[in-house]
Amino acid sequence: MAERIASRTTMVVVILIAAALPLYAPTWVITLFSRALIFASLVLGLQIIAGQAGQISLGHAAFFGLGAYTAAILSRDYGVPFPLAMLAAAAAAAAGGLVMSVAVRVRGVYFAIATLAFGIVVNLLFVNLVDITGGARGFTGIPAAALWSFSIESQGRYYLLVLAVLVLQYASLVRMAGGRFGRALRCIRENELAARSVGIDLVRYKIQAIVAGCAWAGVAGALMTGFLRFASPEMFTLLQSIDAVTMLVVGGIASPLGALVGAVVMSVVTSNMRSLGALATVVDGLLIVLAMMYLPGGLAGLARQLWRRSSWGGRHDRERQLGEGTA
Amino acid sequence: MLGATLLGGLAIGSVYSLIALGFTLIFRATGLINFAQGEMATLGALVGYSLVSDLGVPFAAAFPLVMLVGAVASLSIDRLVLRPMRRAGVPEVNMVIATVGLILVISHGAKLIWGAQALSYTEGLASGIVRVGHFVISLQNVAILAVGLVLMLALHLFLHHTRTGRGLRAAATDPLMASLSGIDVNLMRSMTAACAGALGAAAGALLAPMYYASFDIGYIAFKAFCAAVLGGFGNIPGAMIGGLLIGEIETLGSIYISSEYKDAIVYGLLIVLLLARPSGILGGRAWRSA
Repeated sequence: MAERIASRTTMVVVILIAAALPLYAPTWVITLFSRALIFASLVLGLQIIAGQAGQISLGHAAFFGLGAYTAAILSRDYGVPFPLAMLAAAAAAAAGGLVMSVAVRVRGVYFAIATLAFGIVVNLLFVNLVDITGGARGFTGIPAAALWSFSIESQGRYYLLVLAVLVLQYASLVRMAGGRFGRALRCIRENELAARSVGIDLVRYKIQAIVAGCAWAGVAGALMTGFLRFASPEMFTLLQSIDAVTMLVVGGIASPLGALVGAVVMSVVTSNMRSLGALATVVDGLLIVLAMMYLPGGLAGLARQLWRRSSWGGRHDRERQLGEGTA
Repeated sequence: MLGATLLGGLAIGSVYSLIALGFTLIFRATGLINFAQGEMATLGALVGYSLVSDLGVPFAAAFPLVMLVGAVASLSIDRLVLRPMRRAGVPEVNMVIATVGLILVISHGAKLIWGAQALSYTEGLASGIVRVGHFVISLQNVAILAVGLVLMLALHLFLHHTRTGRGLRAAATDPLMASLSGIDVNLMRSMTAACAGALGAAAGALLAPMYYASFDIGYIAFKAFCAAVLGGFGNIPGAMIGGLLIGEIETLGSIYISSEYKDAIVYGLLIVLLLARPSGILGGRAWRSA
C-alpha cells in the first residue's frame, strides 16, 4: 500500500513537472519533448500487444500511419475538428488491427512475421494509393489543430495537448492492466495451456489487446500529423516499427512505465544523434542487442532492481513479504 | 518472351533459395529465427563490389572470398551474441529481437563504409545473350541459376554424404543424443552458422551484379523468409523449392498483375499461407514444436 501511494505521488509530481515545461523551457526543448511524448503514445500501444499479450508485432507503424492519414484527410478535406479526427483515427487503426488480428491464429515468432508482412503491405498501399495519401511526395496542407474555436497552434499548447492525451492513454492502460483483462492477458502470456484450462478465451482476449494497442497507435498517428502537419509513407516503414520495438525493449517490455521511459529516453538520445546519420542507427541497433543480452527487463526493470536493493525499497519489500506471510 | 521471364524468375529465385537455406539451417540447429541472416547478403554484395570493382579481382576468384567473409561474420554473430544469450537462458523472443537489432548494426555499418549510393559491379558472373530460336536467353541469368543450383547440390552432398554433415544433422535433430554419441554440439552449431553465412553472402554476390550493390539489399531476406515458409519452414528441400517459386511468383506477378504491388503480392501470399497452410508445401517441422 505504502509503495502504491508513493508511486502515485511520484506520478503526479512527474506530470506536474512535465505540464509546467512550457513555462520554463525553450522552444526546441518543447518540440523535442512533444515528439518524444507522441512516440510514448505509440509505444504504449505496442506495450499492450507485446508486453501484456506477449505478441511481438513488427507492423506497429502501419497503425501509426492509418491513424495519421485518417486524421490528416478528415481535418484537411472535411474540416473535422481535431478531437473528432483523433477519435476517427483511433477507430480506423482499431479496424486495421481487427483485420490483422486474424493473425493471432499463429503464435510467437510467426505472429511477428505475419505482422511484419502486414506492415509492409500497408506501407505499399500508402505509397501507391496516390489519390488518397499523396503517395511518396507526402500529404501536405494539414491545418493547425484546434479545439473548435480555441487554437492550439503554438508549440507550448500543442505539447500540453499531447501530454494530456498521453496521460489519459497511460491511466486507462494501467487500469486495464490491473483489472480482469490484464490478469487474463498475463495468464495467457505465461502459460497458454493453463489459461485455457481455467476458461480464458485466448482468441478473444488477444484480439481485444491487438485492437486496443492499434487504437492507441492511431491516436499517436493523429497527434503526429497535428504536430508535423505533414505525413508521408517514409514515416511508417518497417524501420519505424522496429524503432517502436526498440523503445519498448530498452524501456522494459513488462510494464506501461517501461514503454514511457523507453520512448522518451530513446527519442531524446536519437534526436541528439541525428547529425551522425547512419552511425545513429548503428548505435540504435547496438542498444537493442545489448539491452536484449544484458537488460532483459529494460531500464524499468533495472530501476526496479536498484530500488529493491536500496535500503528503502528493501524495507518495503520485506514488509510486503511479512504481510503476505500473515495473510 | 515468356521463356526469358521464367528464366529470370528462376535466377532471382535461386538467390532467395540460398538465403532461405541459411534461415532453415540455423532454425534446424538452434530453433532460432535469425533475421540477421539477410545481412550476410548485404555483406556479400558489398565485399564482392570492393573486390571486383575496386581491387580488380576476377569475379570467379572473388566469389569464394565473399563466401568466406559471410561465414566469418555469421560465425562471429553466433559466438559473440547468440551463444552467450543461449547460455544465459534468455527468452527466445529476446534473441529474435537481438537479431533484428543486428540488422540495423550491419546494414547501417555498411552504409558508413560503402555509402548510401547504388554501386554497379564492373564485372559480373557472365554477360551477353544467346538466341535459341525465338528465345532470348540472358547468360547472366543462366549463370546465377547454375551457381545457385551447384551450391544447393553441394550443401546436400555435404549434409548427407560426409561425416561432418551427418554430425550437423544429428546435432540439429537431437542435441542430447548427438552429444552422447560424442558429437560436439556447440561446434556443429558454429559450423551451421558458418555455412548459413557463406550461402547468404553468395546470394548477395550473385544478386548484386544483376542490379546493384547497396547497404539496404538485405531487405530481400524478408522475401527469402517467405520462401522458407512457403516450402515448409525447417525443411531444406522446401527452402530450395520455395525460393524458386517466390522468384517466379514475383516476376510473373509484376508483369501480369502490377509492378507497383509485386512486393505486396509476395507478402500477401505469406500472410495467407501462414493462416491457411502453415506447414508449407513440403511440410515444415517448425509448426509442431513451436
